[in-house]
Amino acid sequence: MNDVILRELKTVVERAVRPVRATMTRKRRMREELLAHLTAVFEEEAERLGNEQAALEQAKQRFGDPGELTTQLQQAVPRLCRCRSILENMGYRPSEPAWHLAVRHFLVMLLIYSLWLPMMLAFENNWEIPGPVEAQRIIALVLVGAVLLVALFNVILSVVLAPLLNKIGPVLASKRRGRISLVVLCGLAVLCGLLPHFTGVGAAVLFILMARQAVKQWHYQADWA
Amino acid sequence: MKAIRGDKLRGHLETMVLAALQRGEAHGLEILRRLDAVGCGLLRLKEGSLYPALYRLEAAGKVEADWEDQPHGRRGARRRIYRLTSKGKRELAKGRAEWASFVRIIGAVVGAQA
Repeated sequence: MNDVILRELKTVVERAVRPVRATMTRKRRMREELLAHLTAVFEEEAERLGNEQAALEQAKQRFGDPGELTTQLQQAVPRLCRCRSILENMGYRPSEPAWHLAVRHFLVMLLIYSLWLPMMLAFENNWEIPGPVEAQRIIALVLVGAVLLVALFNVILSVVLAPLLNKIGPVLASKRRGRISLVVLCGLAVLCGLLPHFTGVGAAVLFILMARQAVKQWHYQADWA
Repeated sequence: MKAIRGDKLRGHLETMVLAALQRGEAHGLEILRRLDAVGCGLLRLKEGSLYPALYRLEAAGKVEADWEDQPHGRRGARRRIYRLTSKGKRELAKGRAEWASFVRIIGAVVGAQA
């Protein structure tokens, strides 16, 4: 089987799997398994027909319509996995500019604090419904104070960490990974941890999560993109 | 004899897969070969459709799977080897009983006993 045929087979698989809403790990599993099947079918047909082009067409026909398969694969994805894929999509994507990640983090923080802070204030108020002045105070506090500060913290981290990951990401995803990636990751996590108070811990956790996501993305890009 | 196509098989695919796996663990293509052999080449199933059924069965704990150690073929990706769980065996027995009852009832209705 030559590279052109392999690319054709991968394209068929990719057409079926890419639109499925599932986590990257699950989709990677689907891709690998479907490609293994399609490759085996192609080899079987090539041996029978003695012609690679005809074998490719036959393999595609046996495999079925990728669009139809997407629907069936989607139905087989558990609901929890679909929710996790939404969270994953909020995370780091190597192909995008850092400011995209920063804006996304800003919006997520805005949402979280808009829900959390009023709850905290209501708890302090013994769950009494606040009057109009009190309500204004809460809204002002949420929108101007905590949200902007925490979101700013995340924006800065995204802008700093994303380019950093773009540099070390290919090493993390390469075959030379293992010791190198572990050392790099630990070193950067420790550096982040040296930042004062919770900022450092937050940065370290965020960095590790982003690195994990980046490795999955780079694996995908190396094999399929 | 006329071939039986995918739309007629859809509701029964999972039980058929469980029955194929009762003969021992197998990867996707081997499962299809077993189905094809038993169906005398008359089952016309789009092969990709097997995998969503396997994923559903796995999520329901009726089958379990492991990646094979070596990639398949010269350039191929790894395959997953599926096997029946005890829950799958119970489900297969239930599926067989339901099928027998279905055939008996519908056979009587249309006047064509199996």
